Amino acid sequence: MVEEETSNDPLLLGKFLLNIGMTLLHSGAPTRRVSLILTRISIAYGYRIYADLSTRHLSVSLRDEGGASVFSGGRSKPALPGVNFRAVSEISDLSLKLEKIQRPLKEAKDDLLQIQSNSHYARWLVLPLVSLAGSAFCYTFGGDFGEMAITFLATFFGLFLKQELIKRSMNVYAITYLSALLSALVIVLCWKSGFIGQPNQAFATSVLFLVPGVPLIIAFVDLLDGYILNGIDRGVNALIHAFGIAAGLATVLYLFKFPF
Amino acid sequence: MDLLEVLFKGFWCSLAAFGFGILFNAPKRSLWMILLVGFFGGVVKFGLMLPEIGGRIVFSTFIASLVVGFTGVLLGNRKKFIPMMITIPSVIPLVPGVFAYKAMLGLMELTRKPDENYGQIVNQTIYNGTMTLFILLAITLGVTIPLVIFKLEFAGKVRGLQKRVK
Repeated sequence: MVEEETSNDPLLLGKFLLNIGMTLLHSGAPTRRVSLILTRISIAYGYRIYADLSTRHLSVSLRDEGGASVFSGGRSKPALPGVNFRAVSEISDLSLKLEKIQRPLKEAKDDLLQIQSNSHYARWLVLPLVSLAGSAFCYTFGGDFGEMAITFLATFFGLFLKQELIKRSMNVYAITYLSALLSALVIVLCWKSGFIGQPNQAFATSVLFLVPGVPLIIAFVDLLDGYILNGIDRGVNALIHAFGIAAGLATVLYLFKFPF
Repeated sequence: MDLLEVLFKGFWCSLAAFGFGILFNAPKRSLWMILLVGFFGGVVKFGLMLPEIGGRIVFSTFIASLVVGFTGVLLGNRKKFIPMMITIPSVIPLVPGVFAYKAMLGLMELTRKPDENYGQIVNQTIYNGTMTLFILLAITLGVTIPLVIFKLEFAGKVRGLQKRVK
């Protein structure tokens, strides 16, 4: 243990922790989970950590056993948190492994880079499955098979647009608005072309893939854990997304004089 | 007959949960858990809402998300897996999409000039809005209670190690 402590540079450890913390915050991990993982790793390497966690900024200072401050640093990222459960889960596993065996930080860093480079599920898989989820929603809300079919279509086009716009790094709220708009348009066009009757269920469920479920639930987790500021931050973020969806639907309803 | 319908709705709920698991990039080995837990959530919710039991929608959703929360935590702890990864996609099918949509339509409708139907629209909008709010609260509380109040989550052995450093 003593040998490992001396061989591990606190500067390297600090940078490693900052990198891990930022990745976790940007993958939709609750604040307590981030704090837990950072504490676990730093203690495994024989340092005590004092971290300041916000949703877009992270400050870390490390102290050694004698109480002397050996590292302090911060890192920020302008983008708002997204969702990537695989990264959170793999970093959590990595931290558990490091707790057992304190491997050299260089190797741990390579592992982290490997996790960060792991991509999302392939697009051809995500699009049909999420569209299927949309039509499943439509069924549980009482839609018939015709409505399920157009919900599938609407979700497919909406999600496709969302993915395209994310690549062009547009404002996230504008992306939500435009995707909701396109999904609603698909439904209304199907309705206008006489494909089905009054598509109330389909209209409500076609935009559910945009619902900010993760920020909403994590906002409550943070609030109940006592991270009030982070909870409010995430909650307001989720609310603006919800407004974006509402605005998208409202635009289409207004344009086409959709009765309800 | 009704029971079959409940199981069928549970199946579609589990499918919806699966789709959201993919969207949130849940790890491959957690996908079967999401399917299972999502199925439980759907069956409990629609089972409680059967006329024989007569559970109301907020109560049924709360119990369903509690079930999702507890089964998610149990499965997650057994497989050394963060429970949030399982529970969040599984409760998404319980989101009150139609209520939210109707509340919003009602709000938009309120911008017109008041006539004899205006009171009716106000009533419906308040009803739908309140339902949305309370169902969302029920979902989030149901999922977070097992994690935050009971602290059932697997969290490693941080405390023991802290003593070693001090």
